[in-house]
Amino acid sequence: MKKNVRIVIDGKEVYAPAGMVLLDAAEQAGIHIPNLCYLKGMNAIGACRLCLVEVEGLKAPVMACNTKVKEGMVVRTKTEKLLELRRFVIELILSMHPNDCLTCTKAGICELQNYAYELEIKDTPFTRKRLGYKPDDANPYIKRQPDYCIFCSRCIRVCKEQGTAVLNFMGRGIESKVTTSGDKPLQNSQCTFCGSCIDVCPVNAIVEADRDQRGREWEYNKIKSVCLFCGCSCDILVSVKNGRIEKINPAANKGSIERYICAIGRFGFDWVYADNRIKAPLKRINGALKEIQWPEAFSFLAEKLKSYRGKTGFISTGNLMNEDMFVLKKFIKDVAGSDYFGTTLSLYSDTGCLAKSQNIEMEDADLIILVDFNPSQKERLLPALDVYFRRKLSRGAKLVTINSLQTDIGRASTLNLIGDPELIVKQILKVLISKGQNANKDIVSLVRNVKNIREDIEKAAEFIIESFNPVIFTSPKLFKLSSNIAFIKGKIVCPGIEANCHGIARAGINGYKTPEEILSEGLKCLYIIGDVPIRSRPEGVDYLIVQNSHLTDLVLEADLVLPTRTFFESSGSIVDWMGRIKHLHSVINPQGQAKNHRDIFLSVAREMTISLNLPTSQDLKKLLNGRTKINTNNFKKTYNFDINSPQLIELLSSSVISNSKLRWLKQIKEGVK
Amino acid sequence: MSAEPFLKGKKMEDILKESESKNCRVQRLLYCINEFIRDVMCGKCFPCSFGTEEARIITLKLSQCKEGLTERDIDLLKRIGFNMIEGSFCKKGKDMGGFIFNTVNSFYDEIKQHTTAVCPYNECVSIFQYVINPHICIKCGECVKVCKYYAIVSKKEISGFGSTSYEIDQTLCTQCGECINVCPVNAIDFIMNSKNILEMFGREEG
Repeated sequence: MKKNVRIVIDGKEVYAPAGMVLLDAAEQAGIHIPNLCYLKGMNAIGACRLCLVEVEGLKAPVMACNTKVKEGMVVRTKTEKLLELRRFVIELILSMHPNDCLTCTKAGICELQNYAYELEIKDTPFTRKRLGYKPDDANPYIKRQPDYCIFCSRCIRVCKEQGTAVLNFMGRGIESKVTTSGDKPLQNSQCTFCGSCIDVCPVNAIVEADRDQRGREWEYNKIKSVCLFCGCSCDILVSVKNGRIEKINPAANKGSIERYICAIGRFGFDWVYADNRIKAPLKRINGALKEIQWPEAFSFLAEKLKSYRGKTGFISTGNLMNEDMFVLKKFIKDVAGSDYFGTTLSLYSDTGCLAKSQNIEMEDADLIILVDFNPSQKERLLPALDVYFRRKLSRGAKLVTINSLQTDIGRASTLNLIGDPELIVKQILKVLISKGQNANKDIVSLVRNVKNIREDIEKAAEFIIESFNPVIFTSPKLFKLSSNIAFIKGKIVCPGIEANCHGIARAGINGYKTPEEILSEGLKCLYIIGDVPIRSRPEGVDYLIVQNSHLTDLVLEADLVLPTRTFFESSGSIVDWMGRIKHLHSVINPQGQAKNHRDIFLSVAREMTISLNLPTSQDLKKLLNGRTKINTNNFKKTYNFDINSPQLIELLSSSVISNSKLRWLKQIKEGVK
Repeated sequence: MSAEPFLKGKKMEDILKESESKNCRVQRLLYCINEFIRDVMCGKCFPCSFGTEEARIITLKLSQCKEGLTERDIDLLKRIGFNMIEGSFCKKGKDMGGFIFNTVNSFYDEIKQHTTAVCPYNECVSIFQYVINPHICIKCGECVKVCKYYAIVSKKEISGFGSTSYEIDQTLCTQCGECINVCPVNAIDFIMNSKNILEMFGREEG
């Protein structure tokens, strides 16, 4: 724990941890020091000069964004001289800013507008001028309007820190322009359209492309929820106007490395309103799907489950919330009397390693080791994790990557070990033991025959010894082997690519079977829950029940279709890859007659006079403690699946990409090829 | 591109020395600001990069003996200098601010004369101005779009079925010439201010 120091800001006593910058310390105490270029968590550049404050005993004013608090500091933030300087800077910016606050999208959260209000600036005394650049609105996601730019360079720095580095200044001083290399449109650069630049832009220079006439900032009802499109399960803040989602922003705290969402999370929400949403239950009558009412669907389903009792196979996605999965587990056992249950988890991981993945704190981690684990923003494979690693790296943590091939994240890392990952991990273990780290007999015997240790591998082991909180990320393939390092020091995580895979695994659902295994059992009735990568009706199935939110090829071949809500329309909880329980809130009313997964199961059970219960908060709390004890005695690579699989990600997210405005990304990619 | 100016290695002192070839304080100021922006400035902190640009425009207008300049503009110049001393990040910006502030402070009256189109050394003179020739102008509006200083104003004509005509507001124009470059029909003319020229040469002869 860092010691608190006592400072006085504007006559108010403030306690802040040593090493904190003045600006953050003041913010904590509720005193806002104006700034336009500061980004919490990153190094200050001191360009805007708005945060200048006077410190007693110092002649010249100092920048609050890079001055650290010292015991006994007496700070004044609002002297006449400082206010005059702030007015001067804001008036200068206003003299070259289009004054169209009346119709500006950013009105209400524009920082320039807010400071003009605070400093009571009605107009600029300086010469009105304009920069005269053309906007870049060639893509449907991010609109750049350099005319509004105030040169704060926040977008440049946020893009650079997360490793994309698409934007930079062209030119110098007032003649500079924030743009891509070669001043090309965004889609011709390396941009992944994550929109981090939108979040940090203080003015209207970078905005969502379709925000025009989509509501003013103060009209939105902002609801916190979690994005379930992939295994990163990022916190999102959904802005809703008149019951319709208008935009999504990341919800993690300012300055946190987790303040990121990718293009799918930010722009994929119109998937909820897609034309192919199923609005009512459908039943195949005389070869065609006809709309029916819910009571009819429930009684029909109950009848079918009775007649196929014990012979119904269940295949579910790993995207179900804890509550849904809890009810489903009992539903399969008590209502359907079935033992056949497979989840998509088994396509990319193993319930064993997902359940044993430990609870970690990314903020504390000072060493990150990636064993055969390659998240990628470009390939949209757990993009947020890629960003977290790069941000941790630029904020002082070390990153060691172990891979058989050169990778994107490897190029950025502190130490990039290329070779057979299995051998490298064993060699690291050997060095750790030879340097006096405690290890049990099993590990010692495992590495007895390991030889030819490279210098860089020794260095990696040294990093582990030096660090306080090492965290190991691994693919399921090498989970058991890598957990030996965590057994000596640190923690180990094995992220999955679906949002709630950890919750499902920890709940002990018997979904160890792969969908293929279920299909090969020769079952006559199949019950499919959620979006599962099965594209056509399996052979030999007499009755196919599909419970999904969108029409897919499989739904069109089903005998009974039950419409479900998307995660925007229902509440619940999940367990994320860090082992935290995250709560989702329903942000909009459901489309049509769609119901929650759990409500469908409960209603069918009621129809069959079997009582099922929702999980209690006690049940959910149990999920917080994963089965975190690590086995150390199994060192074999046993699995054939691969988590580093862009094809699988594409398969699982194909519904959102092809049914929202994200389809443009696909078209562009195909066009380039 | 941004590294190049530093290679030239011009310093504040060099610029100040070079500017002494001019007698008029406004000319010296203009020369220094132009050279500073081109060679010395890094352009990163706001008070310096935005302040010098604004100072450049005001001094440029003073050097052209523009109509509509008042003491207010000279006070603004002083304010820019003052705040650059206080607010600039580095010594270069502070020095430039100091130079602007001191020049305006010490030679206030000399600079003030320029607002009445008088330059004591006859170095500043309003020789010509840009005017849009209404007979040639096809009212395409390109010049309005390109003008960075909002100097081209469009006026709705009441008689002509709501058609617009364009005029250059001389108090805003900095004679940068951008409009001439884009005009498709060369409708923008120079008008020589012959009275001033005669006066200038006349005095020199005398």
